[in-house]
Amino acid sequence: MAVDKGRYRLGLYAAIVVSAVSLLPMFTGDTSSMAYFWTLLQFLSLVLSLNLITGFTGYINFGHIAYYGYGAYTVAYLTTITQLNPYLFVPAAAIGSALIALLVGKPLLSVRGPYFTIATLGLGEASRTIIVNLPFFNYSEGLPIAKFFKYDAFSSYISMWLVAVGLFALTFFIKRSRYGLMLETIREDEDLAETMGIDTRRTKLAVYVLSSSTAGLVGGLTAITYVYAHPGFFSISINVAVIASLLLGGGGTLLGPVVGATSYFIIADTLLTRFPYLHLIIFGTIIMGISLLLPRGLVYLMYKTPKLRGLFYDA
Amino acid sequence: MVTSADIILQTLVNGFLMGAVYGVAAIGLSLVWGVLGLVNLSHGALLISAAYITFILYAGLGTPPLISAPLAFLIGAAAGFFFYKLFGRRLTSTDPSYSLLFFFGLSLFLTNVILNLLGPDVRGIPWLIEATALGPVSVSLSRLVSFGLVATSFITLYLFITKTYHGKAIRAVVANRLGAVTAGIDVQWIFTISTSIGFGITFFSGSLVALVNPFTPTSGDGYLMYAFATVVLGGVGNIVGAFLAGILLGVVESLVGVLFTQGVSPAVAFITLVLVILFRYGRR
Amino acid sequence: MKKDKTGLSKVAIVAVVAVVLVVGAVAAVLVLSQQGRPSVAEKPLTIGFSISISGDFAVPGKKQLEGIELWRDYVNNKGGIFVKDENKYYKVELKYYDDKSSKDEVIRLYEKLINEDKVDILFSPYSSTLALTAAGISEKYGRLMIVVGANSDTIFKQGYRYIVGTYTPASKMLTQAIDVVLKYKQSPSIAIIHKDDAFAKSVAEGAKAYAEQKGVKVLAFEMYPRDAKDLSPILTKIKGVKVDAILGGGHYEDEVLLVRQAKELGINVEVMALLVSPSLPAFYDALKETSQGILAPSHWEPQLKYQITIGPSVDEFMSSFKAKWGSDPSYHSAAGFAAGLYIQAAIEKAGTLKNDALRQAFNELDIVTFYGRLKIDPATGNQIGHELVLLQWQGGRKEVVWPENVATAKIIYPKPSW
Repeated sequence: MAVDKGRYRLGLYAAIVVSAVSLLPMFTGDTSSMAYFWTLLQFLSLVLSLNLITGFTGYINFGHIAYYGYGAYTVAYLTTITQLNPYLFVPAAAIGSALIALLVGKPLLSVRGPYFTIATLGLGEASRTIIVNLPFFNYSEGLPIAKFFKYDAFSSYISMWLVAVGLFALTFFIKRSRYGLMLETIREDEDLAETMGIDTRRTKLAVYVLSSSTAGLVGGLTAITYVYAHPGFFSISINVAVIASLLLGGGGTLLGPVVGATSYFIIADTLLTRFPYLHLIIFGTIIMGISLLLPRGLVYLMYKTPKLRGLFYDA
Repeated sequence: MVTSADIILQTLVNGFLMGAVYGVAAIGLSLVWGVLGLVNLSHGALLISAAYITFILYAGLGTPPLISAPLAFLIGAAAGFFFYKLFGRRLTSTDPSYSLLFFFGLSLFLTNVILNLLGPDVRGIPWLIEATALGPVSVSLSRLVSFGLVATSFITLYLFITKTYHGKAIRAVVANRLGAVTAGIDVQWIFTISTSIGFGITFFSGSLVALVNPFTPTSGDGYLMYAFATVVLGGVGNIVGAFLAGILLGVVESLVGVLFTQGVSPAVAFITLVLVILFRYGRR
Repeated sequence: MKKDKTGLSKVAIVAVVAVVLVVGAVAAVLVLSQQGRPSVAEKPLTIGFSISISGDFAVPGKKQLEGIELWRDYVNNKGGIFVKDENKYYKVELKYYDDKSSKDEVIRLYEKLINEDKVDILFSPYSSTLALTAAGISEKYGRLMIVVGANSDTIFKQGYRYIVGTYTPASKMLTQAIDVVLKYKQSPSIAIIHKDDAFAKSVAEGAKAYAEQKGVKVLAFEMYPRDAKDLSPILTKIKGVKVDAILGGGHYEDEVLLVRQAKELGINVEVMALLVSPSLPAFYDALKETSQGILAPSHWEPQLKYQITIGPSVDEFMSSFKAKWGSDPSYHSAAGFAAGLYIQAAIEKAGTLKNDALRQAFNELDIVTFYGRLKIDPATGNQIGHELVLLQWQGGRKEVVWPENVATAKIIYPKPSW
């Protein structure tokens, strides 16, 4: 169809432009922009990975950040004991998180709504407390790894860029697939989904493992860029920030996480720089406003405009 | 490992007294969650706001905590009433995820207003920091007084929830909202008074917290997790359950801390929380 | 008169040449003397850091910031810092952000300070955990960082080459309290407790090592969690073990709770020494008589008079601090100010703003400020010149009680029983 071809061409152009812009700092060697964009890409990746579980199935995961922490510790610990380059252990971070998710996911997903949320919150906090008591993880000090490798801004940037792009592509394919449809059906009405013959348990578990392992991937790369893994990685505040961004942008969509993450990031940064003492008060107010006024996220605002709707109907 | 009987007895008493405070502190959270279905993430911030109000009354006007606590209840009840009028309808009709977000924003807002107005310094009320000996056990006077207040308030609540019309109506709404409507209960009104009482009790407990512990503007988060554990353990919306669960949690935490090490006791609390949720609410 | 070809008399020519010569000479003298006089640089010297305006470390963070800002005013009033290589005076400008006492914010902010804001010098955040985090970033880029408000030994054991400390190391913080116990008690036994953070752990481990070295029995060594609202379990455990002293702690809220609950549990010891909270008046406000006899190490107290080689006297510091901020400074403020003096001394010694030369200059510095002596170990950057004192609350007043030669009051031993 002509309309479809036009949309794909538009999408392709947009992809090329965004890629060029986001890769620009690598070519200019401007470490300042690289650091800024890296943080944005990292946050975006976290939001995209959370979107897989929370956006598509509606299960609000307050323990997402725990997998990010596991990934970071996997990389840092393996680097510390083998003294090899940490990049070698990044796949281990993803696999490790996936295994843990497989283990706890099944029982966790047997509860719904706020019970799931609180249970995941409990697990996240329990993880932090346990790690802080472990001698081989250096208790509350964490594992600094600066002395084990030579930090390189370029590889750090390109690896996070690839992860963000990969997650975006993954979301694209899921959104357009039957699997994605199953997930969204679960979100809309889980009992109905079961009646329709969807194996909700397997479906939910698969996306939970996927979501958690990608969070582990981001955590592993972050430990490399921060040259440090510490209990602060298990921070509830980061988890809430990720959830807030996802809801702000619109869960279960392709562009929602991107719009949400970018807006949140820019707002938080601006507030911090301009209001060093009041920024959290203003931030709290903004969050309250968003939650009351933007029921389904910014992306859905686009749906309201007929012209844009045709363009973005399944973004 | 220390196992003398005196020490164990002391541990149990400590846990019991602390747990009673956890229990009462959780009732407000349980009520609002059970009746309205709202998970109030700003619960800790509300507790601390009340602690600061009590502190200001004490430091500024010399108000003894025995008066501040009931006063805090009234302030909280009023706050809850207006909160429902302003936001209640909106919050109960949107997606649960959005109400979570809202309360998180509220928590940030309250905590930082206090921080900016009153500073980050640690505050405490140096009233009755004395110990009395009950046999081999040493008990803090301030904790005894707070327990007295806890017991009084709990008995009052218990009578309210079992003997009065509104109390029974609240229990009905928690049990089955649709059924309650069918029975002719004005659910909107029940929502209003539940929020009011919930905030009231929360502020009352915050006042008690100020009586027994030091605090800073950000201390609220530390109470939040225990509050959740207590609510879930006791059954969401179950006031008596919350209170008993609080005591249980307090005693267990105390025992773990003394028999093993206090460093891991939060993990014990959280894992208990998760296991209880999975066993009680999990679907096979 | 005889005229030459151009029509000017010989006299006129000589006069003109003489005037030109004189004017030229005067001009030359003026220009040459201007060459020697230094000018003020157009861009200020930026010192970048994150500081905890909110979160766990907000109290000391604010105090440290006040000290640093006061130093900025002090050095700018003197015309700025002189950089010999450029023959310029640099005014100092501070660039700081609220790190919310969070490690993640610290990482983000230091990347920002180094890469976006491109500050000239870095100071660390307050607290060992945050400073350790920031040091990882500054070290990544090979940038000098003055570590102030943090003293965990771990920071200086990472092999970092660009950090300079200003506080006495954490491992030494409780050694004086142990000396006190040893002075008054035969074969003492103690309990050491600490919060689960890098700083408290450093202090506790240093104390344990020192105690064992001195033959003091450590009968309990326990950790308590960060957000603990009830410390009775750990205290009850200690109650079951007869000790002469309880040493250790964490930060503000938990230390006040420790003292309160120790009294409530009827735990009486001859020495109770905490880590940080007794330095601030809020400690007394929250505890009143219960604070009597509590000890704590301090990096600085106003009563101390050192033989100064650089910077203002302690009285000048006190009065200007009170004038600017309307409150009394704590040791965090004094150290913040001293950190400024320290970098100032290094720049003046090195004569340049170059990162590596400055770090080198610190190796050779041995100065005395109103805050005390400052001298580092060249290999690690850890502070070895600065000394601690022990303070004790007596009748609602903070007194310096140890070492005895700088004491303002006699130590109350044993701590009065509750």
